[in-house]
Amino acid sequence: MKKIILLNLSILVIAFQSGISHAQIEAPRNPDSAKECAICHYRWIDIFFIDGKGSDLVEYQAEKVVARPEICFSCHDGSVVDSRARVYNDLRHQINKPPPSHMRIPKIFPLDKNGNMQCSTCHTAHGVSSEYGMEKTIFIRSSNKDSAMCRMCHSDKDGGLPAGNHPTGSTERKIPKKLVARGALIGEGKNNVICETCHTVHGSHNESFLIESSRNSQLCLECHSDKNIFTPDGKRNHFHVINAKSEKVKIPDDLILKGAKLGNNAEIICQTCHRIHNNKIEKHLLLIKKDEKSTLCVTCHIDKQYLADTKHNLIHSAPEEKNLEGKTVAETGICSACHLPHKEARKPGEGPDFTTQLCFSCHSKGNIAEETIPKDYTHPIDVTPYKQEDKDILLTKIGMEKEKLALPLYNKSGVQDRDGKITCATCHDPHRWRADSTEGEIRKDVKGDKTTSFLRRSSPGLCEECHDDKFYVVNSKHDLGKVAPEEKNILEQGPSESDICGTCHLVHGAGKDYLWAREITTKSDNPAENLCVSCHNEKGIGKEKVIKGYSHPVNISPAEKGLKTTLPLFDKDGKVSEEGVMTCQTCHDPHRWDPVRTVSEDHSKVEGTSENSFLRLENSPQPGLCENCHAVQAYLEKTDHDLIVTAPEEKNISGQTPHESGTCGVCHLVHNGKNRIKLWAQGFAKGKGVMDMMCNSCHSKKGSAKIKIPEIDTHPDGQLITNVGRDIKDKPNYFPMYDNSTGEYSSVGNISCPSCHDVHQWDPRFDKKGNGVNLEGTANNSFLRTHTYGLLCIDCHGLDALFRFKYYHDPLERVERMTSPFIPIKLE
Amino acid sequence: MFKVTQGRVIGFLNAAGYVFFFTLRKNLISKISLICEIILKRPPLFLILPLLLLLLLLDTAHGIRLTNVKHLFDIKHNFSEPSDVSVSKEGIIYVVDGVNNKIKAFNQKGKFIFSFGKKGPLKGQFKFPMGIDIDDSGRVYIADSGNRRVQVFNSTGSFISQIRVPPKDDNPADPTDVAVNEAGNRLYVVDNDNHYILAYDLSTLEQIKTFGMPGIEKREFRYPFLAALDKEKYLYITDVINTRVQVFNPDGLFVMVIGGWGVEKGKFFRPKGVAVDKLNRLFVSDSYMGVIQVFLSSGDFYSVLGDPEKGAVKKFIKPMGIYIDDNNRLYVVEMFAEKVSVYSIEGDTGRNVKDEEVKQEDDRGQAVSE
Repeated sequence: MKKIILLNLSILVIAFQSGISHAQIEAPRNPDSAKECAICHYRWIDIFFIDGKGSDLVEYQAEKVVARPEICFSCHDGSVVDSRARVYNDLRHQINKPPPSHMRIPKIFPLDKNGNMQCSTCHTAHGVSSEYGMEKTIFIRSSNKDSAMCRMCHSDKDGGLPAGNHPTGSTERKIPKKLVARGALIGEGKNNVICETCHTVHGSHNESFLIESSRNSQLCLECHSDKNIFTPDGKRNHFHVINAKSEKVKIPDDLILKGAKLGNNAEIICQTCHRIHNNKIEKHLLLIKKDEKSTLCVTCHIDKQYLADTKHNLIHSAPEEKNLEGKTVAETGICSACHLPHKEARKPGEGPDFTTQLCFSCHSKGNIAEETIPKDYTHPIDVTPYKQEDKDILLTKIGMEKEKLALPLYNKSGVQDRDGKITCATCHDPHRWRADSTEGEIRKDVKGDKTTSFLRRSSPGLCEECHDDKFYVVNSKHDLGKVAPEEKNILEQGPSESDICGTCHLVHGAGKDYLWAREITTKSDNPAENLCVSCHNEKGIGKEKVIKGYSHPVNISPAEKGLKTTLPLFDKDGKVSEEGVMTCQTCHDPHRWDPVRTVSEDHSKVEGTSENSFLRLENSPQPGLCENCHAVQAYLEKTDHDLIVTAPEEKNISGQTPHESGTCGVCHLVHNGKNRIKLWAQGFAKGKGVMDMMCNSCHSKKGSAKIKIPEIDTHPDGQLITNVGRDIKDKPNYFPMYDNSTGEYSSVGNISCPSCHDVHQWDPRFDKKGNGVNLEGTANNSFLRTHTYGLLCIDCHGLDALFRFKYYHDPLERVERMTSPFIPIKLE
Repeated sequence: MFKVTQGRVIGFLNAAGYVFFFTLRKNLISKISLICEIILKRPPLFLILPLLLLLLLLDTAHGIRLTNVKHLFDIKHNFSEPSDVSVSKEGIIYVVDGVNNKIKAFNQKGKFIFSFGKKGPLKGQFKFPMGIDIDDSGRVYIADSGNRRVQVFNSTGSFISQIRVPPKDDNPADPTDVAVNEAGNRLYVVDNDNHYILAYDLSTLEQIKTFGMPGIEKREFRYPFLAALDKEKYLYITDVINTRVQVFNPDGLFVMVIGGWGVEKGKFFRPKGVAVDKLNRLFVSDSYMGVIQVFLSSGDFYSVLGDPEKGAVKKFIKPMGIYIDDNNRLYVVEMFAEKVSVYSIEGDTGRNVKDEEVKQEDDRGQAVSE
């Protein structure tokens, strides 16, 4: 019995299950489970809809999924239509989200049961016909002619300018083909701007589904190309910048709240000033109301407001002047006298860069600021201020490090750019009269000075921005405020007026070379030298340091002397040149007293030594400066001939100790020497020739080398010795001979001390300096030249040369003895 | 009150003595509840157990053979809607990264080697490429759909040649896949929008003939999409809206239709990718159902790919192009997951596994018409 009950129960369960299932599920209206419908209406496939179950392959589908993106993409993946990039790459009108609360969605656009937008909100396979043809609108619920469907939901974006929106409809402005090629649609009629001219619902990689990004102003410029700051050939128009990031202008927060937008990297873009939708603030869709106070401009350009009380406010200096719109400053506002956001306000002047052209639009011949045109020579523009190092030349023209420069540089387009160049606006802020305050000046008869003149910094701080390495000159002998406070430059300015730089250099109205501010009194072949001589002459303020007597030669080329140097040489135009010649500034840096130490205290009255004296390199205790050219002679350092080591108390004829004069200065005076020969800085002792006399000045009983006096020190004269073939320096057999009276080189004559001795090198085998230890010499060193014995002596004296040498130089050796293998000779 | 759970069926007796059974299928809930109300008010306990067994039988998945695949690794490389994959004889895996307009190459471990291509109309550039095939010499053939052409590259991606696929009746071509029969000197190009196949002489790259037209009959297509050749160079083409695969012999003669409309075994909802293994079994991916079904060369349904760990049908995330290499590895482009998943094809499990064996011999039907 139980089995029967169970069997019946089972049959009933099965029967009820199928029968009840139809009764329990509400059938959709007009269901059509045929393939042509179910190919999208997945839910309607028989096994789901009729059998109410899944298959071996898939789960039962209870809910409608026809409007789900997965169904759409099952065809739009390229297998029927390729919408991979346009629709399904997350670049589409939002779905699975509710529309904004303020938006009223017409009933013909259904949301899903959760109130979210889905594909089916706009699309249906049973869509309307359209004037555009089925291929465009067959799946759209309403005709989208002229973006009509867009406007049905986005009604707040419609209505054009009166409604505070970008105008739609036909326009005179042509919609560029380039934009159309990128997917922009044009409405019916001529140049009909519609929503889809700028926006595309599917496939945009840009914000707000724009055809192109507006964050770089590109979309706007497609049509409004006349507002572009660049012409098609790359020339900068004198318009307000776009797509540039200002380091100083900050867009006010309240402007951002009003809808101002910045570029992806905070650049100024079209939409920084213009809001395209829902903007009734000002005509032209501007975010700020315009007025005669230039509020629109000053909102962002706060620092420009100080122009109002300066001569650059044309209301004071040129009230009748009209801009290119034909309006006076009173009519158009103080900014618009010079600037219009999308037009030129003034005809630009001639200049190498954009900002300079702006300045020259007034400060040029025939224009309102003609009288202020800089005269003569002026500081260069269109140059970089950064450190220019040439490892081969010991001269830093400009020492500014890029990261330290606070002054603005500008590129060709007038945009501030740290890699840009110097322009007028680098030093001048045309919107602010004084560097130290916001106070203005409108009186025409008041001229500018080092603090005013629209300078960004007071001078000399302004100069120091770039030329800080020249400011070692402060408190030195070249600080005329210290040493010649009454001296005036060619503008009749004293140091107190001109500042320390202005005593020698003028930024505007200067002399030709080095912007020289002083009168050039000499006209040597080298302009660089003339600058020095303009003070260092018999009547000049540097008359105490005039070059006279015998001095180191200038206007010579070290290269022609076979010398290499890293010291700067100067050409005939006074410019640094590898092919140039020596001049004062080759060895001297007029801006720095001490080449090593920074001297900040007053050192204007200190007498110089070889350690300072504006030398480019320290020359004591190491002979660094001389060595730069005379490297071979510098092997003398720390040998017995370096008196800093061996006779520090000795003095040269100028009364300088070796430390004061430097190693070289002991024997040679660079300036104002008394002896032409070798610029000799010591006296002359006894000797048969001038060369020997110079050597003997030390190697004499009263000399500093009195313990090194050869008892027999001379070779017999009159032997007509010739050194032809051995008179070439640097050759191993070099054996110079000198004229006894002049000290000049001679190829036939007599042997003197330096014939055998090189006074600058202790050991001919080693090209190096000494070690500061006083050594007893041998026949291998002792300042002897290479192979002196092995070559020259043996030429004349054969194999007994050494015996003869010892005989004549050492009395103890003057004995007769058998010395094999030498052949003894009979001595008298 | 008690609670019984068995698989996906849950039953409990409430305080009033009513028995309620719930399954995970919602439509059954109401049915069981109603049955209980009518039949089983305060039932004796001996009825509950057999009832539960009956329901379990009703609810158990229908029997189906599973051809298990073992997951080896995934290839992910910033793909943007990849569509197809192929492997050269040298073992280089080439993936069509369509929206990125690149072809990306990987080694057998899935490590990126190189890529080529960028968006554009020039040689070596792409506009949303779709399909790929590689000949025995390692030359890579790309259906450059948006540029309406097929481009040929060497194995390192250097451009060799291109075929401009002509429009048909002023309708621009839409080449979605290529199939290369190097031995037969044939190159087949699938024109999706024009619903036909173009055959080219591989050596001259000149068009020889076309076959197919829009429609639902044999040799007719509604959006042919991806293609593959078996070892006898029979051509298999997914016919997306006709929800089938059509088979053509090397002469382009129609052989048979595989599959049909539906979501049951052996049927398709959105057939997309095809591949043939060394047993000449046909693998067909269905992008919406997310399954890959296996058919014998006779066209009979054989199995569906299974997940050996779950003992259930293996589900893929929008599978598109598939490929089976000589090592019996299956490569599946999962477009939505933006990856290529790689499997080894294992043995079969599931109902009737012992009853049937894979036929090794070619039991395709004969070609029937031009």
